Amino acid sequence: MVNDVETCPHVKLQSSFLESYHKICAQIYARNNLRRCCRVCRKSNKRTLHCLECEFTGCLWDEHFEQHVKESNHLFGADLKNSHLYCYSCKDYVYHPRLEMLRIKVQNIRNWQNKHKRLPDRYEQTISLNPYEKYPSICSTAGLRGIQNLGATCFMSVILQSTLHNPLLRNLFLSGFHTSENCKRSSCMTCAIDNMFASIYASKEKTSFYGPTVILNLMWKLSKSLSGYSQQDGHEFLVYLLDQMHSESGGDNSFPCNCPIHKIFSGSMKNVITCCECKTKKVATDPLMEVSLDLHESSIQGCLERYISPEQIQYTCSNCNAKVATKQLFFDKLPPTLCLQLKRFEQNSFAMSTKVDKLITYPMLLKMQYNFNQDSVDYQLYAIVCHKGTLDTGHYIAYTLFQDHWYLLDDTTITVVPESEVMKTQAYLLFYHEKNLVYDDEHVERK
Amino acid sequence: MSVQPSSLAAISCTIFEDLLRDYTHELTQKIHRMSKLALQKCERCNTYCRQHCTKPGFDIYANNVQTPSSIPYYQCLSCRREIAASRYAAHMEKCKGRSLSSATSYASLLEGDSANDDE
Repeated sequence: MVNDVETCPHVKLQSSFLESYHKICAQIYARNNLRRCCRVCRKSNKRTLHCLECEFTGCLWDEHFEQHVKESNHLFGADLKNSHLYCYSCKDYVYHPRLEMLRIKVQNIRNWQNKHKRLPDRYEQTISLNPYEKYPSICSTAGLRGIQNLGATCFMSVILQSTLHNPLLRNLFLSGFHTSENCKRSSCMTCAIDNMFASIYASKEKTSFYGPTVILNLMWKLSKSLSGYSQQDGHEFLVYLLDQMHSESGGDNSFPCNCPIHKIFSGSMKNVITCCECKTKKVATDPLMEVSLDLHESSIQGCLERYISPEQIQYTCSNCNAKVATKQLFFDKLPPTLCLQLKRFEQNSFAMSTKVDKLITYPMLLKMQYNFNQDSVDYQLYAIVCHKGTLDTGHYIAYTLFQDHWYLLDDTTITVVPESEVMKTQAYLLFYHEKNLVYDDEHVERK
Repeated sequence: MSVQPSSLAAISCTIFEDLLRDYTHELTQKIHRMSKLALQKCERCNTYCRQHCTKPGFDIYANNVQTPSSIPYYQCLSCRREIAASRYAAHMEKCKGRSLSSATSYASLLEGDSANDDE
């Protein structure tokens, strides 16, 4: 480790200091006509600082603020361009964890306010730092832990990792949507998953990793096809897990289903069959939980285009009795989380499976068209599941995006990897997440 | 102390210099913040967790990569024996009395399952 640096010891977190900092940050992020000129020279391009203890503003570069420090013994100035704090004792910008928390909160609230033209509900509660004084701050590595392989269970570990880093699922579980205290069900998979989230996100020790013994036991008990000691298909486990959690959170067989799992993963497709002769259209709506792509193209975009391109089929038209029609799929409603499965495991005519190792390129940002290709939405890649080796003696690994860095999760070993490596893997499952999540304004919904 | 520029060219140069300096400042401030936070001790875990170890043979937390001798043991939920992790699934298959059906709730499943904790 390089020479360490102490957090600025001159910061005293009194309420007057916090209030003052809060006020300055709010002014900066409101983007109003904030006067950024120095009291002494009237210039605004020499990096003006606003004093934390009085109303003085002065240049950083032309030393006018330094004069103020000598005269008044006020040590701190907030940069009026980006609200970072400058300490004249340390003679440098300082980043105190709690002040950073406050600064980012103010920035987020202001962004929300600029969009919705009012303050969020419970604004005072949101802006307060009091809860954080009771609890210690969150470690930046919270949530990034390995998962123990229990003997050919890496197919399960990689799916669990992709679940841990799905932003919506993570927020859902960490907000306590399903805890074992409140659940009276015996053998509940959702409780086991909640326990996993709690364990991993609360873990302070860097040497710790999660042993999914309970999840393994439950899976064998509840699923006939996945039980037994052997390597299974990762995607099959994902389908099973989502379905199990859907049943356990009150989901039913209706379409669309309103359970949280379906709200996150489920969308719909429009299946349009057009008769070649009389052009009569028959439109059906099919549910969509993931997109399984054939590997005939060399890029994901190509595979997706093929997926939604028209094809000729044998079909008897109910109108004119013609035997040929074109079928075309359109993305109708796209879910916040989109899972793309590359069909690497093929079953040939002898019911033997082979693996296709072809390299398919995929983008970090994916634009998907929906609503009969009239609208589009941007997706961001956040997790990849790869399968290495042959069908029977293979190994699963996962890549995940965590706090703006990509990590390789290989059982219990976590390493940081450059983006270039992440974009060239032999991906089997690609997890994309909507880049911008738009929540309905709660005030609008109430009517 | 800088001399007041008098020509148009000189004034333009000063303005440009200031702009450039400002942009460079914004850019480097991002990196400065990241680096400084990486060098500070985390309040929660008391380590330098914003720094990643990149030595081969270690993971980002400078843990040794798991070897056969360092494999953990987990308690079997049926027979309550301690089993090595790499043989856990194989053991589960053979262990008779996979008595999950007798558990009345998730909480009772965890009783006596202390090997599952990771602290």
